[in-house]
Amino acid sequence: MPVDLAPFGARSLVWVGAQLHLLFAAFVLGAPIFIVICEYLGVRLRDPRYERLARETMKVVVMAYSLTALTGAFFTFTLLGPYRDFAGYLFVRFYPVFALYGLLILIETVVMYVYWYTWEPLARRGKGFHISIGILLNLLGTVVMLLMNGVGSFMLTPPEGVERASLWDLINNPSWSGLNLHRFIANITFGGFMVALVAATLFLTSSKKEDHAFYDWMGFIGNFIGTATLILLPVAGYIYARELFLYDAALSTFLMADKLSWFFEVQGVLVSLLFLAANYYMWLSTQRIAGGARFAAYMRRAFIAMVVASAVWITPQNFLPDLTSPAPLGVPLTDIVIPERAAFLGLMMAKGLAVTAVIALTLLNYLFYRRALATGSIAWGQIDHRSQYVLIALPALAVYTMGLMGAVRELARQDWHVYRYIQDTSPYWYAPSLAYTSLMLGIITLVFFALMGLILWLGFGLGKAASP
Amino acid sequence: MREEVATAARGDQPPHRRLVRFRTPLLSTLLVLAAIWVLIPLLPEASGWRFGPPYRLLYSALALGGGLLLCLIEARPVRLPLGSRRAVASVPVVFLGTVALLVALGAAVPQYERPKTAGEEAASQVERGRAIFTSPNVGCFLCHAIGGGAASRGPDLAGLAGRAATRKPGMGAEEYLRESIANPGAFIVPTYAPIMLADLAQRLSPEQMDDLIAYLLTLK
Repeated sequence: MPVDLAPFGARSLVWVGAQLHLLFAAFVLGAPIFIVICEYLGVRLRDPRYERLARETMKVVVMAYSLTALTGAFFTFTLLGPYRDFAGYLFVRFYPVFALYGLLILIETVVMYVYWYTWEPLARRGKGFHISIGILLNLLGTVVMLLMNGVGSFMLTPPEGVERASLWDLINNPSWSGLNLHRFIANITFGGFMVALVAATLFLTSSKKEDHAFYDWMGFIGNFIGTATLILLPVAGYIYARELFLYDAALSTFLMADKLSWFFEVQGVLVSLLFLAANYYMWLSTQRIAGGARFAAYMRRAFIAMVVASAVWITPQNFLPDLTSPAPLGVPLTDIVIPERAAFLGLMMAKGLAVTAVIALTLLNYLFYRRALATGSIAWGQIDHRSQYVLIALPALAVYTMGLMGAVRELARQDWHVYRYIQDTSPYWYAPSLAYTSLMLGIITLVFFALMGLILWLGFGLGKAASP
Repeated sequence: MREEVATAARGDQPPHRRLVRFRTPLLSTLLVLAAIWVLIPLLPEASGWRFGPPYRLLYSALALGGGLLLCLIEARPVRLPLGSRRAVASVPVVFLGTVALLVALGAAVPQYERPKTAGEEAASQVERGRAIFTSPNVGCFLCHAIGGGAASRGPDLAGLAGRAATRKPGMGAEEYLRESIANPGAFIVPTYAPIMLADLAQRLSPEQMDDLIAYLLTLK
């Protein structure tokens, strides 16, 4: 390694830079999809709330754009020092991709500013044209994401005969499509939960009644989009994991049964918490509908069933940290390995059924909500205030989960920069412990939200303070 | 419902009345905990259902979490003075609390950190071989366990040295192991799929191959 970045270490700084850049990029890619849909719904349903929701979210996106660029620059500079040989290799092999990436970012930024600054002028005549600009913005953002996914997925699943492979083969490597699908859906989920976070913060910090009604509704829409797409993520994750398995079965073993198996245990806990929290919000939403209380008994049972399904999901085959570690001294193996008759609980079949049950129960709770809505009206702004804390906890969980799965994807390469092709010979070639990973993710999550808090304060807090 | 909200806001119920609504979730949680810590240890090991203490701790945490969720469901609506300093301050507090809990969760579970220089610092040939076996570069341990306990996609290697000596007539243990690594398809142990990497020998220097075989021959 040419230079290390003491005292934090090159890997840790690259990690923070890459993850922060990814989080901002996910937000500025995911939120505009949400925004254009809302703008369209505003026109279609003639409901001005959708228009306001789209506009307030876009205000946050515009500011988040510059932070995406700044964190991208931080990531690139920290990468180029300690990992210059490897970065140079990637730059040479993917030169047309990086050149196109730069060009598209430039065009996307221009389109984003055009979209934002033509909102008012095109509001009365030309709304359809404005929505078309939004669609173009999303198309550009999606292509940018696909390009970088090509580089990222190449590092884990390079095609056979890397030396002679064409640029298209490098991009269209065995896990590119799986990663594209998973990231596209996850970005919308993330965008939905971020909108809910913005809404909850503004709900709690605002003292106007009409604002409470609007932000209550905005939080509901954000959570709805987040949860609706969250339901698809386990399926997309399965497709991605299957691509990795077909590429190299040893990868799956390393992920699910060996060094990273406890990362997946924690992922099970996180996704269970995401679903439980989203359902709890749905429960609180149902309670504020006149007559909604009559569904309480059914929803209560659904919650109990969800906790049982989560228990199956996170039941480990054993409490050993990896495949080769022996049981700790004085601890009988039978204590830390799943009992024989219950062994089926540790198998993928049981986990798959448990996830399916959690998804089905979420849909069921949503049906109860719709049923309540059919016979009673919602008093927007009257929701139990605990619901807003659920909307604050949800993005924290979502960002942490994104970071964890990102770490898993990177650590799956083991001691390779490009799996089984370019070896990582730096002092940081080994997989860090889960505790260290968690600490890193905690720091990244807090820094990300501190920056988002700054954006909210600049965009909404200062504006409010300045207005009479 | 709005009346209920108003009543809760006044807080004019005596404490014991307010607690009554939590009776069912609290009792249910206690019952589950009793089943985990009293009934399960009573089961004979031969029943195949006696979960060890780490499993009981995991399920207890889930029971407590589920109980808390049910209590939250039963609890009266909360009304805060919106826009107040308290409400503003509560946003980062809830956020920090959530992240802190997640970091603590990551630190609490079993984990492993590979020593930085496992291969290079090993002294004897057998130790060097063991380091190769556990190296993620070679990845033998990904499919082969030694002495059971963990799931394996390849044969368990406990007692390998003895089996290798008798696997093929006229072929010694060392020769057999060398062939199995260089040409994994030469003999597939029944009930296992032919999934062993074919290029393993190319990824090892002759010295590393010797070290690995020296280690495998100690598995008696």
